[in-house]
Amino acid sequence: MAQAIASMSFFCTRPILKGFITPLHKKNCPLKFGASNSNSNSNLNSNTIQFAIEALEEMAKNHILADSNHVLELMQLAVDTQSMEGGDRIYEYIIRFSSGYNVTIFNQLIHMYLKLGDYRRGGRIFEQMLCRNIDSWNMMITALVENGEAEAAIQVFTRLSKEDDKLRPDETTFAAVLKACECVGDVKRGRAYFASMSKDYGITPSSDHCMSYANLVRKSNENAADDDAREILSRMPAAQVTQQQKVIGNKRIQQSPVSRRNQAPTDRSMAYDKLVSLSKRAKEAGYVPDTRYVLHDLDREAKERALLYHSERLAIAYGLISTPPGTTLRVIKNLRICGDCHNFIKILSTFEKREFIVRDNKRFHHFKDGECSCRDFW
Amino acid sequence: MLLSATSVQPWSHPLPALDIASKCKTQMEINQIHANLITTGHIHNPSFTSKTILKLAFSRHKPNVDFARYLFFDFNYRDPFLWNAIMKSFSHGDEPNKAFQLFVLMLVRDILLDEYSFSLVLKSCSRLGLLSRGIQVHGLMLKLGFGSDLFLQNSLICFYVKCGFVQFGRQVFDRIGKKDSFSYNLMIDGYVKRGMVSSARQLFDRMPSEMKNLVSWNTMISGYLKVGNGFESAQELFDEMPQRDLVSWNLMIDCCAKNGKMESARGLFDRMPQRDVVSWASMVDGYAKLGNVGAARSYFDAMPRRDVVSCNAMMAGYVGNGCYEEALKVFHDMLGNASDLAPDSVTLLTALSAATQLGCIDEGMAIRAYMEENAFTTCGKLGVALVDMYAKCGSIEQAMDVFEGIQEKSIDHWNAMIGGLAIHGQGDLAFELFMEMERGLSLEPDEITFVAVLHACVHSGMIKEGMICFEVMRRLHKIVPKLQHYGCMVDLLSRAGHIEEAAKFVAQMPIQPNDVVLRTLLSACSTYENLDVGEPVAKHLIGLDSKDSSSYVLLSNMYAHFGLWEYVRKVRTLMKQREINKVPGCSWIELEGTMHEFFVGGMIDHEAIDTSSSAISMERAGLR
Repeated sequence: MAQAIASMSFFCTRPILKGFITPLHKKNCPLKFGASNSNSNSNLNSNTIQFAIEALEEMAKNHILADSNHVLELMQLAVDTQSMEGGDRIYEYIIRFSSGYNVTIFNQLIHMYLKLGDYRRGGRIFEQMLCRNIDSWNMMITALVENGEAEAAIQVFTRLSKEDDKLRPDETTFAAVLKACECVGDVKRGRAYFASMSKDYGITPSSDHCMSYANLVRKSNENAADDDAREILSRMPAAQVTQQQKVIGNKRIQQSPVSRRNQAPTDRSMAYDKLVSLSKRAKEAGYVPDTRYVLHDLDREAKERALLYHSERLAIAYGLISTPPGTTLRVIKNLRICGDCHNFIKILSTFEKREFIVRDNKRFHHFKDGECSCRDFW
Repeated sequence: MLLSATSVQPWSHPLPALDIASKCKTQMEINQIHANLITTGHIHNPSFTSKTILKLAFSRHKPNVDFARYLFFDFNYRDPFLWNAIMKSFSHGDEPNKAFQLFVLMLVRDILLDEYSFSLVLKSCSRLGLLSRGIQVHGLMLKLGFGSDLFLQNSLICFYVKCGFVQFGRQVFDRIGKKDSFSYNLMIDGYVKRGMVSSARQLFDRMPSEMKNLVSWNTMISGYLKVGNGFESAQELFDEMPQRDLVSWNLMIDCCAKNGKMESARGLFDRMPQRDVVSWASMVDGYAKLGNVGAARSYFDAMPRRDVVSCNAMMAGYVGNGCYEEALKVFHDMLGNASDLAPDSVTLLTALSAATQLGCIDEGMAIRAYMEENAFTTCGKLGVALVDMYAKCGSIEQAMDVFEGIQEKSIDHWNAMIGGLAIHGQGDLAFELFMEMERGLSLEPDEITFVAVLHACVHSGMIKEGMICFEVMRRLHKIVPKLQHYGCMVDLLSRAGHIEEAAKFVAQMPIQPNDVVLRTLLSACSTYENLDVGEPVAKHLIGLDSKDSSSYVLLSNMYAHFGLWEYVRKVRTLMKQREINKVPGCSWIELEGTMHEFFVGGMIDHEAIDTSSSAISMERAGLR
């Protein structure tokens, strides 16, 4: 096998690599890489990753290196299949055969380990990075907050400006660090960070920033909490003020019924990308956007774009990239699901081979095999 | 073996066995004592057995009490003291009804009755609420000349107020020549427990100062706790108290908390000389009910020692303020290794409520596992909560599994199951369950049952069945339809596209339709593009509540369906002028225990739409 690959290296490089990588995405790809007696999808996919890495390693010995996009795809596959072993092999491959430093790949490594549940490993990779971009810092800070290491998250944020003057925190950075301050009850630093958003970085606080800071202030000083909270809310985007003022009037300042939210920008970006991909496949499967549900005076193309990013679709796309194949996904929506999304999800269930359970503000919808439990009556 | 430690011979003194008997706790140990008494012959010694009876009759351990009763009934005692002792073991024990039977037996056997006999039998009557029997005892008491005994007169007051007849108690009270503190306290407590705070206060004020004690003051304050406008009076009493105890402080703090005066509560809390878990729990509960979960949590965290009640208060506060995850964290902490607290049914109900709101089925399943491991039954509210949780977390199969496993189903269980099937679109199954109730169960459907089954028909398009249910409710079960029932019927007709019929139904409703009913009709008008019916309904709704965005949105949608973009712009302009914002779409998905939130994204910004007509006032031009 190695000799065959070596002998071919004199004629071409990318076509061979592409040929080996492409079958990973076919349904029957495990069979092409050798039979496996395990019936577990996870094991099959893990074996697929192992085989792919072994093939890449053999090629690397002959100075044929994998394209970065393919490595990224493999990492995503490891996340999708929750294969820690596969992730470790990919990491080893990158360390051993990386021809040059690529911050995107290392960011994805951090992301991979975070999604596989090993945030400490992600932290070590973060520390080893030769250089980082803002996404690197955001992922690390957010991960620390979500894993109960709020103080460490603040320390990482503090290092950001010290270690790289050229990097500027963005909205996501501040959202994470304010949440960290809220967790540890550090009003002083929280106040300083909140003030610096607009003063030093020209960032207008969003409702998330204001809510975190308002909650932080309220927790620390009950007597002044309401006044401070109102002052903070006055800085919220106009669209949110009325709604939040009602809340403050009832002495409740809540971001949402769910306080833990994943803000990793890479995940969100991948969800959007996934959704675009799903939309294409759905159209191939017969889905036609029903633009009647876009109640704006727009042309058809604009209406289709408006339909694409409804929240339930985004949630499902995110669930698809975050869970193993076959996993039932449960989504909750605050409003009634629209007819076009309903149709889209029905078709989605046919080629994704998953059950989607969507709970809107009226009832449950069980989507499976192209049908819904409501029988299109809701 | 207890006996192996003692050398008891027939000729030895019986006192060691008697001493040993009082230390017994189990049936096995008592059996050994019994055997010893038989073999030594002391079982036939009434002097010895009477001492044993008195020793064991008031034991905390049931085998001991049972043995005392056995010895008593095995010998024909005539000592009233022994009879009273056994009667007390019944009246103050787990079988108060037998105390009355024993009292009757005393009469039959001509055993001398004394004031303690009457007191004990009245105790049993009050515990069981046996008014008629108690009145008979009262009559006998008067005949035998015990009517003027203060101790028994107080017992009568207690009996009558416990049975809920405070006026009878008051008659006894008024006939007492020389009342004591206990007399007044009993009567005041009776009034308080019946909500007659004014009468209690009148009596309290008439009470001689030297007779007022802590119980009197505390009882009166607790009375004001129960009435809506009693805070000032309670505060006055508290301030006037010559001395206070922990109960006094706790009552006043609780009063402040229940009236939303947490600043006052905090002042008291800081001043009180001694605190207990009740004090802390009141602070937690009070702040939580005001929506200040941060402060509630601060007090909760500061508690030197927690109990289940305080944890329940914290969890309930979180749930009541929408902090469901935080509520579950408290629950998890209770289950942690560092905690010695055992969740009770209230805890589990609250945890299930939080899991339901979050849609976290994994949490709900963990709670169910805990219930099974700790022998919590599903026959009560917990079973209802479990069915509801599974249904609302998207697993109707597991909800059905729980429902079918409940041995004695109450109407609430049936309602929860039917309601769960309804929101899952299982109208046929829901209707079958309803028919099963109709066919032979001893349970009578209630209003909620019909709301649930009508919802099932609504979500499954079962118009005929819905009509049948509505008429069955009215004519067969004689249930007067409530607004919810009418709302379901409007929804049933509307969803099926029978807009005109739905509108007619609304017009003929004997109850004034509320915004929910009207919005249901409006939503259908939007769906079926019925502008003739929808437009006036929308205008009416906007007039009712000009701040609710959904009416504006639905009206705008109807205009958009007809391509009336000018009117669409006018509606949206009006929304902007009135600072009304559309609720954005938001979805959540739970992955590995973490909720991920998404808002609608990528939509066209409303500002990009041509707003050249914004200068035109909608009120001036009219909506159409």
